[in-house]
Amino acid sequence: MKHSFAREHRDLIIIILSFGFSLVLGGVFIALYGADPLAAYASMIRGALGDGDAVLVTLARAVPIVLATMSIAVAFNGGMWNIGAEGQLFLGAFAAAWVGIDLGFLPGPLLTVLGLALGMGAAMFWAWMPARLSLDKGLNIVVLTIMCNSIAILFTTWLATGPYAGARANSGTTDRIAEAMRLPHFHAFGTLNWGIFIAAAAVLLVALWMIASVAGYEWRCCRMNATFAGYAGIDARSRKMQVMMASAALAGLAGALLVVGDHYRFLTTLSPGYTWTGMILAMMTADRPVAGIAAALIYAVMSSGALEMELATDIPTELVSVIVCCAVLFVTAGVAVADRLANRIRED
Amino acid sequence: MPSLSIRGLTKTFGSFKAVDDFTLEAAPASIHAIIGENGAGKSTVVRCLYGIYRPASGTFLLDGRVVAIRSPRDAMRLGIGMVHQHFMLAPSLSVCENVVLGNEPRRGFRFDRERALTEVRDLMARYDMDVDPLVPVRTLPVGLQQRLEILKLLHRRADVLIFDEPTAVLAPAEVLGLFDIFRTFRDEGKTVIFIAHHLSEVLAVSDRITVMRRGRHMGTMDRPDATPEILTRLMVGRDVIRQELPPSGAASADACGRPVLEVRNLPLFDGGEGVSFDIRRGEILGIAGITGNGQRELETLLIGLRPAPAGRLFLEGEDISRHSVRKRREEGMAFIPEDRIRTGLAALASVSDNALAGSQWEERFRAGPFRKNGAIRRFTRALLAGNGVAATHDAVQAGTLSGGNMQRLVMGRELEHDPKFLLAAQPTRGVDVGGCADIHERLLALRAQGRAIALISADLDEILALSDRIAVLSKGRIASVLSRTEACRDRIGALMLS
Repeated sequence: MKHSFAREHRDLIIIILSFGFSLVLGGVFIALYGADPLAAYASMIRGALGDGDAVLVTLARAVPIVLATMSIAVAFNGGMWNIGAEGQLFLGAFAAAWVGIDLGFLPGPLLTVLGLALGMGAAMFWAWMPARLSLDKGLNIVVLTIMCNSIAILFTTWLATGPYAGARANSGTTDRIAEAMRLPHFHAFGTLNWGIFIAAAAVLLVALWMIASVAGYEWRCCRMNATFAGYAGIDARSRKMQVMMASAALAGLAGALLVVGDHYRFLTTLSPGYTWTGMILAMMTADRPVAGIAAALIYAVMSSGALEMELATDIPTELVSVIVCCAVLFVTAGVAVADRLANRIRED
Repeated sequence: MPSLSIRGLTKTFGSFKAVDDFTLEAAPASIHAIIGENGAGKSTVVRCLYGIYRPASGTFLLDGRVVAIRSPRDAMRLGIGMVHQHFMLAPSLSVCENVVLGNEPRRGFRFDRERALTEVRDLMARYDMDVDPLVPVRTLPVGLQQRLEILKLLHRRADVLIFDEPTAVLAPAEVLGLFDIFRTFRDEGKTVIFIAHHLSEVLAVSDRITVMRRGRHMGTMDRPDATPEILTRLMVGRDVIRQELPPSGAASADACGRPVLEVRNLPLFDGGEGVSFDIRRGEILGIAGITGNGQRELETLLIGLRPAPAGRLFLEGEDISRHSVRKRREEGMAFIPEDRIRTGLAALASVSDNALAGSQWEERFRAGPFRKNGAIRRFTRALLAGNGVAATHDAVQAGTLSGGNMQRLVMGRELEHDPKFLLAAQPTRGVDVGGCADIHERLLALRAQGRAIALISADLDEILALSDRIAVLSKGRIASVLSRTEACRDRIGALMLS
């Protein structure tokens, strides 16, 4: 009985063990640094969740990371290697900013909705092109989406430093969007805003679809074995296009929310690589939606508290990345080893 | 002194004994054939010998000395080489590079291309092969690729050459050429061990013959002592009697009605001639032919994985040529594909996910856009139990099942829909003897219920035993359709090669 429980939840067990093991390894690094691991981790938690303001700051940090993680997870889970989420995020962000700057005369609520919708739309268009070329013409999706990243990021950089450079702003930022469009911050100390509910709704919807819907089953089949999916009567092309669109919509939403909710303007430094972090987290959780959300929240806590840890113990904030990357290694290795073992003990 | 001995070899997979106390003595300068039915354990023996499998017990002796073979590398070092059923070639590398791969001549740290070329040219001259050593391997026909595999072994100076069903992929003329090569090796003092499928091949070329059945050594004899009757009796344990098919009333009563499946001018290869045939209610149409003559293409076109370039398909009179796979399934077609692992199943997905495939859209498994997990679980368990699929859990990966269990899962799933038409491609390949009988019974039961069945099989005995009519495929066209009374081995054999 216990044995079959372990088999049924094999991946989840590997993920949790890997994460725990990486935390221990991180503790070893801290000890090598001459600090007390438990005290360091405690200061990390205190920094992230120590008081109400800290919690709100951590949550604000979590929003784009959770969106990015889900964006990658839904694409990878459906067998579409969308490496282009970063470019989609930037385009989505700029589209939202453009609405707030050039269409600022429109009434408030309409502006917000239009900004978010156009942000997602721009990102989806940017993902549709490589997806179409890949699905219909057989081009390599990884190469295409990577290239689209550079084009999108450089294009928005040019817009933000050229035609849309802000009049009263630092280089690389646009003017602020219309006042009526902005989602108000919950507190003066951080940028948390109503966007978190929009993000949560989007993430939960996609997660629900992945876990419980017939479409989610067909997405999974496309990744596991595309020939098999076709043979089982699944229209693999349209299913793969669906996951790509869902992925791009989440990435675009992340970008648009950063503009409409957090910064109120487009910045060329808008994303410190949210979707790359999201990719790492999605891989760490084997593209599982619930585990991905949990990992993204944990990562937000760790990275939010890392500064406090650095102040308290001199451990550099990069330790968080080291821990997460170790966890990714353990998970990928663990799943690969488990697959091989399963094939070795097969009964024939 | 025998150059190679296998003593007391036993190999188990879980509780299944694939090879049970097997013994073999192969003399130098001889051709030793191993024969047996599908699943008799022949491939397992040679895989143990080549170090791919670790046997549970048993010893190998080379020139009377006990040798330890733990990996193919060990085997190669001892001068044992093997040509696999599936070739191990790098398609994009040249002929020359493939032959020397893993055993490259070097100059210092660098690959000595000049010496590699001369070595390969010498080998080719010695074994009378005329291939440009610089062309990429992917451009060569299958027969020549097999020659390359042999050259690879010779380049490594193998003295014991193992061939795992080498004739399965060859045309008849090529088979004769291969046998000439075997004889050259024998004359050079090498030992050839080959696994054969057909009695005629065994009798044509071997010096000694070992028969296996269900993993056991049934007997070894010299060629002059062997007759087809003796070998057959050892192989199957009984004389093969062709049984009469039970009458399936439906077929004759329906003879003037419209067939269940009509295929009209369907080209199997691009730009090739189209094939046409009908399958009626209560009829099994056997489709015979040498592998690679259009079977796989026919399978893809019937399933609908590839749009038909021309021609028409009718199911009960309705034109389904342009229908998607899903639509065809909903209309009552079911498919057992040839490649269970790559087409019939998703090896990494759970047994439950695999059981659901092809019915995920049905109302009983769906509430709006959502899956009914309870119904799916009950369905999976019933499917596993009803078809005797031994899976420890419905969440285990399908890839961990044995070949027979995989096939039972695929077959059970496809028959679940009570199809009007069933395509069964190589349904018993790699399935043990008991499993074969079970699958045959189920196909006949479907026939008795008035279903139409297309049976594609490389096993002529299977075709002859089950089919009402037999269509013979050759080079992508149907050479002839024979009735059950007209069909016999020789006639089909001649048509296959036409």
